[in-house]
Amino acid sequence: MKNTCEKPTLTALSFKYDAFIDQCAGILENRTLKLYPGPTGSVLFATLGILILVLIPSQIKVRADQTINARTFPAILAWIMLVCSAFNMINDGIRVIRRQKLPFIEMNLLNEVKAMIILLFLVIYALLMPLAGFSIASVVFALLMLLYFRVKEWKYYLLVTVLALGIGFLFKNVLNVRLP
Amino acid sequence: MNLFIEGFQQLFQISNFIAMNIGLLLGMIFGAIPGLTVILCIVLFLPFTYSMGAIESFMFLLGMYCAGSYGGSISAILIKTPGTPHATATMLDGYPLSQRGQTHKALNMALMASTFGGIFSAVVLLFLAPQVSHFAQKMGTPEYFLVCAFGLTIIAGVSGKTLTNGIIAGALGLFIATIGLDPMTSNTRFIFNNINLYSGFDLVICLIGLFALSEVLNRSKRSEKIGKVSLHKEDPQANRITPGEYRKVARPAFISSLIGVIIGIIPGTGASMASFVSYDRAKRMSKTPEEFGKGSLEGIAATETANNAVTGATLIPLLTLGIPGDACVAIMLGALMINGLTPGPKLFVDHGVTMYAIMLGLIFVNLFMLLQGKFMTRIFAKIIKIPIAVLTPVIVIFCFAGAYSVKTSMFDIHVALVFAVLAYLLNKLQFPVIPVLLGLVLGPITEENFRRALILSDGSWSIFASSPISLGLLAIIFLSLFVIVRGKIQENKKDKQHVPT
Amino acid sequence: MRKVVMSMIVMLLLSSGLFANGQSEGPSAENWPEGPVTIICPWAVGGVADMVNRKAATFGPEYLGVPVLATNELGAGGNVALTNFLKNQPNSENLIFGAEGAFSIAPNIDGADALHFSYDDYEPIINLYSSIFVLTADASMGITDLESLKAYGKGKKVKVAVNGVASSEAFLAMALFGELGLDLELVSYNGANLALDAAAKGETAFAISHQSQARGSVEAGVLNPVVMFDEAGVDNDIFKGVKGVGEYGYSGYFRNRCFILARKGTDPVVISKIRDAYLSILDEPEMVEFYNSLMIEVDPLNTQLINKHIDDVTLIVQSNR
Repeated sequence: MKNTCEKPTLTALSFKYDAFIDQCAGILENRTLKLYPGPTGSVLFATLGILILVLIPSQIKVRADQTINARTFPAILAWIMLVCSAFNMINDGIRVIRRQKLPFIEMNLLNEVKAMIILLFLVIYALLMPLAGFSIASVVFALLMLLYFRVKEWKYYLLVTVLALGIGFLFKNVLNVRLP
Repeated sequence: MNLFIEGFQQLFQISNFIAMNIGLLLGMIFGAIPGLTVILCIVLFLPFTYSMGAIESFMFLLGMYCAGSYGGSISAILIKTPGTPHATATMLDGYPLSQRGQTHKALNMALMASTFGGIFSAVVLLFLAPQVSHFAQKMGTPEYFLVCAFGLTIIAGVSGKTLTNGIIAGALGLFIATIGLDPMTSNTRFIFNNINLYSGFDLVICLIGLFALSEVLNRSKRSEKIGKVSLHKEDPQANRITPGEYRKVARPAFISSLIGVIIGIIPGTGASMASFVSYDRAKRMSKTPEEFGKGSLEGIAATETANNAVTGATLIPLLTLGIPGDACVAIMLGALMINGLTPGPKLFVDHGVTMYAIMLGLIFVNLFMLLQGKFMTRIFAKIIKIPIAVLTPVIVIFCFAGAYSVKTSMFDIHVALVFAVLAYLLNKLQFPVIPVLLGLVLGPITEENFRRALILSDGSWSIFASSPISLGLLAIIFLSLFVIVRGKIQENKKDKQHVPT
Repeated sequence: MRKVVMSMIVMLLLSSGLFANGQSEGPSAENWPEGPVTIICPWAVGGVADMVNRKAATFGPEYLGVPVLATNELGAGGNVALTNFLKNQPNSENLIFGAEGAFSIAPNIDGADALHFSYDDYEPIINLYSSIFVLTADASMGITDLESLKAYGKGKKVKVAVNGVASSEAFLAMALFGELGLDLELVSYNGANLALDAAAKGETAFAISHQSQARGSVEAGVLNPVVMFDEAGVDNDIFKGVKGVGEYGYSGYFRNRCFILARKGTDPVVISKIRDAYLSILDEPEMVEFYNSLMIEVDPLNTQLINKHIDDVTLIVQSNR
């Protein structure tokens, strides 16, 4: 009785869900973000280089008697990042002066949001693992991923559940790894 | 000669071959599954060897070691996720070839090349071990540093369009490798009072993040609705390796074997460096360098021969000098000692028969790897038929389980996630990710040997030019730098010529 | 509706609180062990401690009546596992290995701020084995004892290869060379085998390592043993006749020891149960033979002697850092 009752509602629900997602996707699909990878990267790595140089004195203690010590290598690397970033910036600068176009990429907002959603699932998985245990967290993650891919067949849901539990069993009981 | 025959007799026992084949199977599976690695495989199954004899346990471990070395290429080719760090170079050409519908060809080439490299090094081990070990003894700290410095020049070859971006990415990898305890003074670096950062980042964890998990994030790019769609289709016609192709890859395969052996005898460098150096060499010496990165068979052959040629070579310093070249071999050292065999110069005198049995065994390990591989590639190739909606979560679950198993630590899973985001961002900003991996691999040994050399010489830089080997290595480094700079200048000229048209 | 939800949440919280309370009491001492015993080796699989752990564990059912699981938990030279171990309650079935590296060396060098445990958090039960370090020299130099070392080292900086400069080996070198009045430069290698190789190649001329690690090179005549870092020499074929640092009248020596720890507050009854079981295991002929092949000594120190060991090594570390 119950089954026949529930089935149509479920289908209706999933239709609604589909329609909602398609609607959201449609809105996002045509939006793009312009990204200039050159200058962005240069600024990012120049900042990182400076940050490393600033942090070295507090983060690396050294003995006074050595000229080449634990700080030398990280400092050299920070300078390499700074010099290369500066080189890239100057190159970009010359292009701007010569009125050439800087290369840019158009990021599709939909793709970025999708990547964020996968990342969110991964984070949920990682956070859930110590709380709910490896097997349960794995099943939850696998089901979330199927929802993400908008899989309808219940067989797939069963399959990934079995696989997730199987991997957990394999690690815990066959390989004797103490999973959370 | 007597030892040889007796060794043969010792080896030819059914239990040795069973152990070998179980090892091979496990190694191949662990190598092929992203998140699981050879070292994890050896660590997890090591306790089984405690009840085995010397030859049996060694065959078991060598099976895992060799097959794991090959197995990494399987996932690199099929799903663009290297199962081991050194399969990253295989991925560069294996995945594009697979995408073109030639999955079986790519897998077979990787298997053939791995077997060739493995047997090459096994033969070197069997017949030239004393000579090679003598040569290895001539290399010391300054020579090790120069080899690493040469390895760093490879960054130019995997930088993609902009050299400076490649250098920055390499520097980032080298920097990340400095986090943790400084190897020379035991001072802590950038650990921010966090005990989990004390021993730095494990390479396996970084690999899982940089390649496996970031590839999962990239799944978002596929715009089609992915219910049942598998990764790519296969074309059975194009999947045979023709005799002409075998001829084409013969030369790079041979050179890569040599490179693999030479790098293999240097402690701490290992298969990743060998495969990248070989890839770079093969590309520079190829008649069709433009194919590299788009599915070149030469590229696959070069990297796979090199990383399997390392397997036999690392055993040379282990057996003759008792020096383990990498973490896997270090565990084998324990397996020898537990059986009362002390590695070192006297090992061949005291236990000659066992040694010959082991060295002969390595050849058979490679032969059985070929047989098992032939069979297994057919099964593995079916992976591409699995819907990615199912494959993706399974890969992630393996990655998380694998990352956790390395140190039984949740922290490592978080680290892997951070590295995944890092790789995603680098991709967006058009920085290549492979130099980061090269930096992580080479960082510790480069710095360590550099600083150790200067301590040994009381600060005098002349130590880097004090032996014929050092001078030869210096020449090679300057030559390759010259080639890189010249190449870039020519590229720029070409670009300028293109601008007016 | 809201009321129902709220009361359900409260109920849940209460019951989970009760559940947690029930768990935290831990097993009673009399019934210990109530399940399998887990012994965590905080160092690498395949190392000496790991091999001993796994070998000893096979005798677990016989002497403890329950299976003994030998596992590894790596990170920060064992410090991560020791930190995580603090989550255990007294009388837990989980036990862990410890050594002077974590309690005498780590708190006294750079990075000590990151440590979140101290020796007082644990209850040492029994020392499982001891390993004696040996100073070896490039055989071509003909240095075989401390006198010839002293003569060689006068007025120059003697380079000694060690496996890391915060290792037991490094502090032994500093202590000995300090007492000898010689100028020392430690050269850090990534592993004892590489350190020995460096000495054999003449890069450093000297190395300090465990006996078992130096064995191959000494047998082959590439390296000469100079002195054992112990009270007296040892009684085995390879290092026979080599004097101990103590015999020369110096005090800067200690053995590498590996002991089983329980969480502080564990009942003495439990501790003596474990100690007795391991004393019997160490007597097993198979264990004795195993120890011989690994060149380690049976040295079943009790709590007081382990405490003394930690204090002694701490003193040496503090005066040499």
